[in-house]
Amino acid sequence: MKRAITPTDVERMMREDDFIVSMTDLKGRITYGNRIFIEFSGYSEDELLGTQHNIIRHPDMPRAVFKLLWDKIQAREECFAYVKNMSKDGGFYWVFANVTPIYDPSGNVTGYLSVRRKPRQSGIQVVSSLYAAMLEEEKKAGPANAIAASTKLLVDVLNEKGLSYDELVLAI
Amino acid sequence: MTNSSLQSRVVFLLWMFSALLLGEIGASFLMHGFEPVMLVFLALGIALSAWGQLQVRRWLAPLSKLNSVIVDVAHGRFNSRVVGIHGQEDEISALCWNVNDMLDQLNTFFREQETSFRANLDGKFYRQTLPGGMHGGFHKGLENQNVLLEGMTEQKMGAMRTHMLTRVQALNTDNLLKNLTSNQHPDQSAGADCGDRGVTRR
Repeated sequence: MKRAITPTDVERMMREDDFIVSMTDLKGRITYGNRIFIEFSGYSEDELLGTQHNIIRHPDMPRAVFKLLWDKIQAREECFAYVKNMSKDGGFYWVFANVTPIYDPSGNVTGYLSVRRKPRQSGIQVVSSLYAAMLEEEKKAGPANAIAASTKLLVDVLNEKGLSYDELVLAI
Repeated sequence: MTNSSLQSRVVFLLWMFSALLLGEIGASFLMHGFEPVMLVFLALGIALSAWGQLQVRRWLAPLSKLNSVIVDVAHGRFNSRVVGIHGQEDEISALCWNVNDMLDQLNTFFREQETSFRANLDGKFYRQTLPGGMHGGFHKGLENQNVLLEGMTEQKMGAMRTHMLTRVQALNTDNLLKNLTSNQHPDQSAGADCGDRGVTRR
């Protein structure tokens, strides 16, 4: 699906007692989105179902974050991330995402469940500058080395703070 | 299936109206002779029944999905959802969305509970539950679990501390015994320290 959405400065704020829930199949195609997802993304249920989850990806997000997220859930681990998403109208909304695998009764992974909560303002401030720096690295490194370059930056930050990635995102 | 029988009952009613219309037109034909306008009414009646049949099928479609989702829940599976509700604002779609909301709460509650317990057992004490977005009893339940996890963490840390102290004490006792032995048998100690000399002596 081709999109030509121009990002705008219009921000939507998530509410404390809501969360966005979505499910995808193993290839990242949306198989379910709750009403809050429909509200914030601006797409109808029909438009969302069967579409790649990156339909809401914001250009300010470094690719390395999604790579990390994808690697972790494929290793059957849960993953946390502060994510800036883009709505259909170009507006944006920050979420604190927790992605976990979905298992069938015999223990096979059949898809992924993402629960996205209202993020802490302090966390948004920390990751905004971190993501901006990572994005800069990705642009400098070029498409082929983008992920490696910005991952290195992230790892350096974690080493400097002496924290694991999960510890960092849960602490900020 | 409840859905198909409910659907067929409504469809039967619709076609009964069409049959009644046909009967009325037939009676009118017998009494007053042929009138072309009656055919228009007949066509409209049949079209209405056919359209109604399609509409009823569409309105009731989510019910069979809802049923299979609820059967899953009854079997302890919380991953199914009703999809393809198409955002209609009728009672059935409201029911479907509300069931989905309920399942999102249930599913997230159980996942949070399991993940945070597992993390705690693995020593990742920073991974507490996230009650954000949860409602009422679910929110309270996860907050209570965090208190429980803190208790478990303290207990685990306490046990680790005790274990460490015991090890240190055992090490001290061991060294003390060795020292005492070496004080009382200086020759043996020297022999043990310098194996070469022991061999030459023999």
